[in-house]
Amino acid sequence: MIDQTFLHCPGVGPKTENRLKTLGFLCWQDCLARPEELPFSDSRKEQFLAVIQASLTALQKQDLAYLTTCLPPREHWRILAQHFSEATFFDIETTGLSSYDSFTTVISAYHQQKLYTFVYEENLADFLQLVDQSKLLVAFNGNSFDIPFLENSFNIPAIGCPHIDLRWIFYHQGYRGGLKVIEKQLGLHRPAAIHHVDGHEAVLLFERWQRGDSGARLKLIRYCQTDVLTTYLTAGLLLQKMGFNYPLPTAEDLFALTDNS
Amino acid sequence: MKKLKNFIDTRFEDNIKAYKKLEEQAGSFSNFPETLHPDINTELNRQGITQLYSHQREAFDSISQNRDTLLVSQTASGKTLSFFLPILNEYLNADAPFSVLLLYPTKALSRDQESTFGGLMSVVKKSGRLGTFDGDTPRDERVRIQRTSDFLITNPDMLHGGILPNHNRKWKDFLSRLRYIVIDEVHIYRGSFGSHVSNVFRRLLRVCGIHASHPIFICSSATVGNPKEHVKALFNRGFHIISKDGAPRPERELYFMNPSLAQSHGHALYRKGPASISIPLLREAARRKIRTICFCRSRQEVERLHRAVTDGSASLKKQIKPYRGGLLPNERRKLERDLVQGRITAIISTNALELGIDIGDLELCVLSGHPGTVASFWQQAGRVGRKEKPATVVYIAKDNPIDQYLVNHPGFITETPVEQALLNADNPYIFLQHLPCMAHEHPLREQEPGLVPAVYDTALEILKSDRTVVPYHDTFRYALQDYPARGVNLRGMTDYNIEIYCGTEVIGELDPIGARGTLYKDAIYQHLGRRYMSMELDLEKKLCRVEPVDVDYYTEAHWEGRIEMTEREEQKLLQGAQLDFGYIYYNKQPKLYKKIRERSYENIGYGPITLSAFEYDTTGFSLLPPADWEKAMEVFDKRCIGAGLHGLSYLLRHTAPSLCMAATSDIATDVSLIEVAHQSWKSALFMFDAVEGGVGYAEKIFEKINICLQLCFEILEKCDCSAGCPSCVPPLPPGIADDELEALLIESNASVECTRSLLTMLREGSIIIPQIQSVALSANQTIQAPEPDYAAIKMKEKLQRASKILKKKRERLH
Repeated sequence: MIDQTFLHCPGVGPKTENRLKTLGFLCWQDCLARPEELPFSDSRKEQFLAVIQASLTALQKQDLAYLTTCLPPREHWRILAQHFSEATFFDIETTGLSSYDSFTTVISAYHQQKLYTFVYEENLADFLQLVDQSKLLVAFNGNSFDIPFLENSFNIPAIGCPHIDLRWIFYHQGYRGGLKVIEKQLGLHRPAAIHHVDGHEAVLLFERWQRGDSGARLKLIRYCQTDVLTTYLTAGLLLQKMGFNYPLPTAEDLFALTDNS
Repeated sequence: MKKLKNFIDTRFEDNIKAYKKLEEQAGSFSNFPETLHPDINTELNRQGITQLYSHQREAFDSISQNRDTLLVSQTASGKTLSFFLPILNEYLNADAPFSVLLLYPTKALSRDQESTFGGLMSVVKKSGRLGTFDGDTPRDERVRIQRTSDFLITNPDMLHGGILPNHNRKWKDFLSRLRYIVIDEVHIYRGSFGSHVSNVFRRLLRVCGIHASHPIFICSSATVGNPKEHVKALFNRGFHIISKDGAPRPERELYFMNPSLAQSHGHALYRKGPASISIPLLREAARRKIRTICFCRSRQEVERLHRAVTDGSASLKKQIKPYRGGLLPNERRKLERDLVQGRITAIISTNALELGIDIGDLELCVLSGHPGTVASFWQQAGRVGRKEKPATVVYIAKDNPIDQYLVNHPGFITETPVEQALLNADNPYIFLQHLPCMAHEHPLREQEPGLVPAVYDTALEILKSDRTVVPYHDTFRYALQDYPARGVNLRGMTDYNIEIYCGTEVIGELDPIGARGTLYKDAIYQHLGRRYMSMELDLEKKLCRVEPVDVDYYTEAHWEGRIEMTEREEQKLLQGAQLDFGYIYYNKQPKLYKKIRERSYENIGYGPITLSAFEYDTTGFSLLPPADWEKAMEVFDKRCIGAGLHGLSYLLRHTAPSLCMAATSDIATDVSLIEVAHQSWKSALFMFDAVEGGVGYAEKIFEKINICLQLCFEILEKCDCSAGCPSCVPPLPPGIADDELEALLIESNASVECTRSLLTMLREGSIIIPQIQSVALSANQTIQAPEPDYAAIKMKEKLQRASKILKKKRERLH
């Protein structure tokens, strides 16, 4: 899948890509096998092949860092499709939008079919150890919010793991409006207990928790966990719609993993 | 000018202690470099410049060869050209624009610069790629500057708190292209401030390393005794030093003047203030339209002198203006312009004007009191005689020991090598404030380039043990959620200012320590020639309310302190005296204030001050007098011990700063009790750094105590007074609360004699019994004493009683 796009090469747009496909170049190996047939001038061909070669090497080495940066966001669905079962889905809750004056309260992650939760003043920094074991991080709006927020919060120059943003993958497939809207569009329903909870409420829950309300703490954690599980499910459902038949657990089974006490 | 000289020679004949003529110096010139860009050539010609001074050419060559370069100069002639010619030349010839960081010591100065670069930088300014980034820069401007600046003007505080913490997001582009760092007035970065700034530069270079840039340093400095070592200590790099000034200098005359002695009923002998000379001198100079600058030691003095000089004369008020650091940039610039264009003829200034741009050719420079260091003396004196006309410098001594020493030994100024600038970047207290900032900027690695492993490793252990940093991969990341840079003030122990409100308008601001000492309730505060009384000082809310008043006195606070050595590091014996150096805990509080009438300096009353104490830990040493000496004194009159210690304390406080290029406010001395054995206390002299954590000043004196004592001895011997005066050791040094001791000291020469005795013991080991005589006051009194103020006397008695009680309580607690 990943090697079936040429849009990451400089100067190659949809038109050129179509042309290449018509000429029978369906993947990177095809170009490398028959370079003389490429419809480019010599200098352009040299540039093109260099990028193709680098991409192939990266693919063979599973260098996701290279691939996530050089493939345009529109083609990131390929990376998601290729590595869906190995990806680590995560979501964070915070006390505000700016990492300059807010901090992280809960991080939840779905990794290798297990649900992990990291809580403020308990084990929040352990998330970084999970990141060390991850091959690919996936979050909804992660590139704009979660990743920079965590980098600032943990005072690290970079999160240290390749990452893709589900929001833009959805966007390019025609799904817009935020995670909860997309959930509904894909037929997903959240558990009743946290159905109405949103980002603003998450801040209020934290404040109640800090004032001694342990019920608020539980609710906040369940909310975060639900968010990450729906992130995973919607991603899987999208891929199914695109024709990939990955087995997915049911929503009920997944939501059962969330904390009860 | 000749007429003014006659005036000086005749009117102040008795006061002239020394006169020196500084010969004129021919200029040394050089051609423009061949590689100069044609646009620059055109601009220089347009400004009428056809040649360079030799030092400017030397700077150009040195910088073009990629060498870190330091320009040392007494007058900073043509400094701007020296920096910018090579930088601009490269900038115009470069393929891609690089970036340049321009650092000035204060916000006020950096704000001045943008307009000063003027013509030369027009080649850059047109593109809008020059920006000033400091606390006053509006938000939207900041974004523009971050994105598009090539030349950035800022100050160390902004670099520390605004730029470095955001290096990875907002300043990445600027820092990755950084080619030059230009630092002006680098001699200022010494002592505690210098140690802080040195650490800021360590962080900057580390961050540059992370963004793969390798900037060159270009610095300018006033004369210091150790330029090479100073910049090495500051930046940890070797510099090419250019110290020969190629600018021509006309002949200059230097007068050293000492105001006359006077006597007042009820008080011992005192020397008149410098105003007794500067007021008539400034008036005469103004009358003859001689362009003058007068440097005073404090803002309040500038205000008072200005008021006194212009009192009652509308024309003088138009001609003579006060100038000080608190003024807004446009106010400063207007004053400078007016002076250059002749609309005003004289400026009275604090040393703010010691820094900053050229204000044209002045003919007379008056120094009211010694600026503190030989280097600043020459910087201020160097303000006159920049063009062809000969100039005159008049130095008027104040009534404190070091001024009096200077005026009796002018060679100290003209011949002694200039003081060294000291700083210590590895001062643990300072370094430990910056290491968390460093961690916040980027996780700390096992080894950090530019940091001394011995110090770094230990400091890192400390941060690890209190979990300020936690392991992350093979580094240590900052584990807290705050901004460490916010809690670090490069300039002192406090990171906020008290705002002074008159009505709803903020008329000024002051740091909390200064505020305790000058803005307590009922204090008289002077600002731009007007007097205000403090109604209320609220340290919690960080504000002070004042109201305009019309009174004829000013106020001075009296502080009380408590000192304790918490841990001893080193000990030495000096002729039987025990000197201990170590960690000191200090606690001080202003307790009462004096009202002093203007002009006559009469004490007309007291008032209490109720403010919270100010405390800190620092380093310093204690001196216990030799047992033999004490025994001899006890037999004779045991009050001599206290008298000697207080006298020496006063002398040391005034001599030590010049020996380590510290400001007088950086070192403190006091006499306090030490518990030498269970339930047994003895008086000792303490000397310590008045900067939290200590920066090595008292340490230096501890190491060089013999030299210091020698200097004190000379001051005492050479003073012309007969029984002590504020110039050497006053008969009643400030800070004495003991009535018995006071009784010994008042109206006698006990202070001088006992101090001399102690000094002799410490220097030679021989015991001299003080020859104490009471001093008869002469019959001809020149000043009428005011009527006794019974209310004030009662207040004083109450306060003394309270002070005694507190002292007893202290002794009990010890």
